[in-house]
Amino acid sequence: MSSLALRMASLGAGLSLAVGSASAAVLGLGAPLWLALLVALAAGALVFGLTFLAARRGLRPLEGIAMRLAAVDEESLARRLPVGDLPTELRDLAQQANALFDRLDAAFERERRTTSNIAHELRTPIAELRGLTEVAIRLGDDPEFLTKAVEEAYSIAVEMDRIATTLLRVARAQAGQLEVRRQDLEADEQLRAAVESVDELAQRRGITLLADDLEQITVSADPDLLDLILVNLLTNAAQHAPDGDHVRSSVRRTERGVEFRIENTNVGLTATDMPHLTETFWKKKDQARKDPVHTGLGLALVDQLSQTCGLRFSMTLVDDRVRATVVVPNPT
Amino acid sequence: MRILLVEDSERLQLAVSTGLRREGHGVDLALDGEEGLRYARNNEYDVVVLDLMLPRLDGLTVLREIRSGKTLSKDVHVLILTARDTVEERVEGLRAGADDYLVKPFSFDELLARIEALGRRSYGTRGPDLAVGDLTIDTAGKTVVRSGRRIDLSTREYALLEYLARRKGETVSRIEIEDHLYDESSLPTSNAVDRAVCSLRAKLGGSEDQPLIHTRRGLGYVLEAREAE
Repeated sequence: MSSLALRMASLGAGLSLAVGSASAAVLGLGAPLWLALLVALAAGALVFGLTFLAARRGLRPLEGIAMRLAAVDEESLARRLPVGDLPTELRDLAQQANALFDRLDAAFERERRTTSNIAHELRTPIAELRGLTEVAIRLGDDPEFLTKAVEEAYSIAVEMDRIATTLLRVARAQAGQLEVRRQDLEADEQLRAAVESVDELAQRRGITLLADDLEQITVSADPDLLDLILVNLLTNAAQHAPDGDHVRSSVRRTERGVEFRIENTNVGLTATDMPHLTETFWKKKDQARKDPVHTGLGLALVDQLSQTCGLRFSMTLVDDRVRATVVVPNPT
Repeated sequence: MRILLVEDSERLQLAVSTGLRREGHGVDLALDGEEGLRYARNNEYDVVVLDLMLPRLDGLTVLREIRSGKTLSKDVHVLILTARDTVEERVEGLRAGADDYLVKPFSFDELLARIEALGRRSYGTRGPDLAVGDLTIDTAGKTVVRSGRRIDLSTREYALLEYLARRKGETVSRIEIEDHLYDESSLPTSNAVDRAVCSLRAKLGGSEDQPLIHTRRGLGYVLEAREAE
């Protein structure tokens, strides 16, 4: 037992001495250098720790931004990141994020208004349908009213079909599902044909359609989609112009490209109304819907079709006139 | 009742006016706010049914003009019939002077019930039953019973009886009856009221010494239970 202990001890002592002597011999280091190494290690650890803490403190605003972003949903799009409190390096990031929120908020608000407008617009035909059929059932013994009610119910169904079809077209244009088949077209002929197809409707309202400034220009565009755009713009002008008004249309070459213009006298639109004109079913508060041909979707459709076809569409107020402009851009 | 319907949907006009006329009410129709205001200025109505989104003049402006005292129908009961359904819009309509507010689409039965409820208020009655002597009129079911015997009346006769009963004891002139029961689509002939009263008298029956409708020569008619003059 004791010899084992001694061997163990001597083994331990021998090892200890052997290692110590080997290190000193190989590295040639003395005791002060060891100390310096230890100090250097400690200093390194301290620098690392301080750097970590500093970085952590520096990243704290980022953590704050991440938490705020994580909490954003469709109900809180009006909130914005506090730019003023941030370090200079992060302000640009926060401002860009806030700009994104502005765009998202506007898009959500527009979507909400669209849904509300659609629901609101369907109320009148549904009320008509319900009223007519309910009274027809109630009367029972009045074949004259029954016939009239059925005829009107059929007309309402046709109108609602037109609304649904147009909504579908807008949705398809938004989803990029419309095929654009460009070909060379005579712009003046295209406009003249659109004017002719809307003329009867305009005449019923006592509106005169004038196509009086038509340059002979060839453009590259999809004939069907361009026709849909021009017919909708002319119809819109004919429906909103005051009784007896002249709706003027023209096509000419400008610096921007080939420009179609359709103008009618303004009735009640203000500058603040203009951004809303392309919303589905948008109308001024005191504006009534009574024209069954008017779906309230024309300008929304024109806007979407123009985007699909790469055309530039705008509605502007010029003095006492409302001007719709569609530009086929110059080829690049 | 004499009712003014200001509604720019011709289909709704057709449905509502047909239903109301079938119930015996006189209905004048206006397609826009200006026309509606013109009717209200020149005629006395029991109830005005008013859309809000109207061409030429919006419904709230029409309502405020009616309440401003510049029309014959200043104190008329107004029911707003509109697609606008938010709480704010209802509050705005009621605060502008409307007595009731109904949102489209609506049930015709409900519209009729609300119009008749407003009409009852015009004559200071609340319940649906009217009684004159041994005559009882159920205005909800539009039935008439005298001395336990049910009396069948035409729509026009019933409307005349209900109007006289609501004003029982008062002398009601022929012009008032014409204004109340007839509208522009059914202008009466010169003796239409006299003939209607005569027919109603015959149907109400009763012994000669128990008449209910009394003639005030040169003035009009009175409905009340008393001995013949």
